[in-house]
Amino acid sequence: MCLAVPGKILSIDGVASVVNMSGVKVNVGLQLVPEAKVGDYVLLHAGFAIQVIEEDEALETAELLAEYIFPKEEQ
Amino acid sequence: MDRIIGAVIRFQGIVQGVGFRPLVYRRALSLDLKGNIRNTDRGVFIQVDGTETSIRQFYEGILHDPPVLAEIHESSIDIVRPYGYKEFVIKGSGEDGGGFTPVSPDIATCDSCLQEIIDPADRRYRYAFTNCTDCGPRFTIIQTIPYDRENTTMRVFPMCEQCSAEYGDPLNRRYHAQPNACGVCGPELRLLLSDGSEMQGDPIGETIDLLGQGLIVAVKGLGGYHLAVSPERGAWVQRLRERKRRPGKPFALMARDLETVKGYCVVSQLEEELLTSPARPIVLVQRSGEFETLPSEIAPDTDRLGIMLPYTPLHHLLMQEGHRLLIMTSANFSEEPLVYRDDDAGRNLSNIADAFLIHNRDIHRPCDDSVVSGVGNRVVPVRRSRGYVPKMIRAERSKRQVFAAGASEKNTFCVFKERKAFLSHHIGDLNNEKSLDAYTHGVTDFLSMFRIKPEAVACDLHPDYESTHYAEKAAAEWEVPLLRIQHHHAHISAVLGEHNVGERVIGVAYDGTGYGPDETVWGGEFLLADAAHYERVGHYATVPMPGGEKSIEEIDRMGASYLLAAYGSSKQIPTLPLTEHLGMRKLQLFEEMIDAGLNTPYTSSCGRLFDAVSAIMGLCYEPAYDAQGAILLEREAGGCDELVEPYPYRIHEGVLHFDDMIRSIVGDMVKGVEHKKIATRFHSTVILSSIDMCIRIREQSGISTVALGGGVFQNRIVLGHFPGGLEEKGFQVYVNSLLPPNDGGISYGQGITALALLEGGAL
Repeated sequence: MCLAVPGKILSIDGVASVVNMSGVKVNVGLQLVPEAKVGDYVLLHAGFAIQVIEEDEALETAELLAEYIFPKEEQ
Repeated sequence: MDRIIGAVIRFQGIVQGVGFRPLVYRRALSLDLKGNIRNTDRGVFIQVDGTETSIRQFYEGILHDPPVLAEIHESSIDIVRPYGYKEFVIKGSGEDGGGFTPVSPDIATCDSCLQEIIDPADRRYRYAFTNCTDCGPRFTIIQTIPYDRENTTMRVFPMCEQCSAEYGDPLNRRYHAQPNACGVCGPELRLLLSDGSEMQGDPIGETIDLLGQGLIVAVKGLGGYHLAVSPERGAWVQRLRERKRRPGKPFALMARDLETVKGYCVVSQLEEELLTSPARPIVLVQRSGEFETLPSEIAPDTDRLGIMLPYTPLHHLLMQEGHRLLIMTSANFSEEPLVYRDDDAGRNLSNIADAFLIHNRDIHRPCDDSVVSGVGNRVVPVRRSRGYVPKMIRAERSKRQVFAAGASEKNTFCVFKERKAFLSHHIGDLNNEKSLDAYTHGVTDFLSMFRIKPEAVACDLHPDYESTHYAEKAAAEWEVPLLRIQHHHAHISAVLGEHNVGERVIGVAYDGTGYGPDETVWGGEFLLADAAHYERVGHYATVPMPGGEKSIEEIDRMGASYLLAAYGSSKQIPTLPLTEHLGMRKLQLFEEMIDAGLNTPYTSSCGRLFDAVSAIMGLCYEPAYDAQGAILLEREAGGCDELVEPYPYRIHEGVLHFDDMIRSIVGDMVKGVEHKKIATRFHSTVILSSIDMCIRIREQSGISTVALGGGVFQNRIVLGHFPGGLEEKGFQVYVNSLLPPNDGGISYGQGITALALLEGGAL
């Protein structure tokens, strides 16, 4: 099982979009979530947005990830 | 109770054009999952809603039991909130654009389709273009990706109502089978005589009749034309040899079924698997006593026979209703590319073929039959083309995009992208204009099909290869760096890339010819190498090639050269069939050429040593085809089940000298020792002395991994004993098994080196 990473859609051009993922801008395909709009939070996997999620859910996951990647003891 | 969850599943690999989506669709329905599946440039994506248990079962089911032709290289599953889907649907491909998805090779007719064409009650009874999602043409009919009917040469055949219904039904075997067709709406056969007149009646039945009269029929197949003739009478086979200007090279045969093959050949388990695999290559198998009932003109020299099973419905019908065995050789003149266009066939083959069995499904790109052999449990691709191309080969070193131009003979080129390599179909020898056209056309085609913009171009170090010239022009035009890769380093890199070996290894590269940076011709090389760099730590002692390239066509020159080196003077050489054949004047002429250094480059080639010994033994003086000298020598040695005591050889400062061996062979010849013994002992010497070299290099370097590359590793005795012998001495050994060890795989090696140099920051 994989852990999908959340990000916020900054701009959309057709099925291509630019997403802010923890401060990094990445190109993301929106084919799997045609309903997504600029400003939405999405889960990302292998260059594709796979689901639109709520803002608080996104922030919570991002926090979790941050903790997972940079555990407090080591910071 | 199981809760409902959402999931996103992704599969990457060969998952398009192999019936992946319909299979997933059927499994989703059976597990009551809702959602969708689509192709993207990153593989197949499935979004589903369902219970945790059923989604897990679904995922693992696909992973462990994918469609027959699929190859899953990577997979993942993400659990998300349920999407709220109401049904499961298949999304069309083609809405993504931009990316690339691997293209499937052509696939031999599957059993289900075969049953239909022999069933008089079936609507596809005797229909020569029957196919489904499990089989049929792919690479040879695809004009551009994505793989949809509109992008294939089948687009000119609108499907009839019944075919459309099959095509549109996700539960049908022909759901989205792009080349789907039947006798009502699909391509048709015609039989023409060489004067252009059309034979009336049933083209298959008439063809069988013509073949029964000993006539030569050009048959349009999957990737090009074959020339078919019945092998029943020697004169019929001889007629084809004369017309095709192909004096001695063995002809490939097609057999009705596996039982027929076993009737004439000894077939191992591995060979059986290769013969019946979906790629249906020509397999080189050992002929049995029964084969002697057939004319010797089929394969005069070798005790191995190139044989294949039918791989299209047309072949099945020809073989089932007619001949159990047919010669099916590529339709071309020696060394020229395969004929695949109808107008070329009419123009170029009318002097060879008495009739043409043609059809109106265009072949978009040519693809020769592949050739493989099985040595023990090793698969040795001799020519990787139809059925394998354009399957990806891994290239894990780098994501960068590279074009590698290949060598000169048995040419293929290779393109790289996203840690994948796509090796081209067999182009052939680039020394004629037609092959060069096929090459140029092929490169443009691959770059566009896989959407590749090379960041670097790799080619051979040889300044005069046509492929080098092409690479120079391409690199200048694309404004990217050109990397010139030493031939034998590229052979070793091909092994390292295929097995993803990152460490430094001992590379043993044995072949006929490769440009050496020291102005000698290399070919018996011991390197310390990783993919990026190499160092030459050993080689065969160099000998003169009187007349340069001429001594490859006339191997009696190499025999003379080795004799002169071993005996010091023409006067000292004992009388042998070879010296009689040459005559004293010619022998002295070679001696003078060598002494004066007149058009006499030096070579350390292993292939030339085989040629020389073949000539010294009187087996072959002027090969009628590539490597005939070595093939005859291998045949003399018989099976060579066990190695024997080697002839004497010397190793001095990393150089392997064979002059003692040459004198011993001559001594044996004079004594009248039987050929089998001499040939067996020669092969044993090559193998055991090479192992000796590796041991010494290990002592110096501490490296105990060996990569073996180059065309000599098609030799069954060398491949049968050398790797095993090294393993017994504690070496880890790597050999190519997906790529030809010969120059047909060298473009891949060039690219692997280029990627390593790019990643290493050398550029």
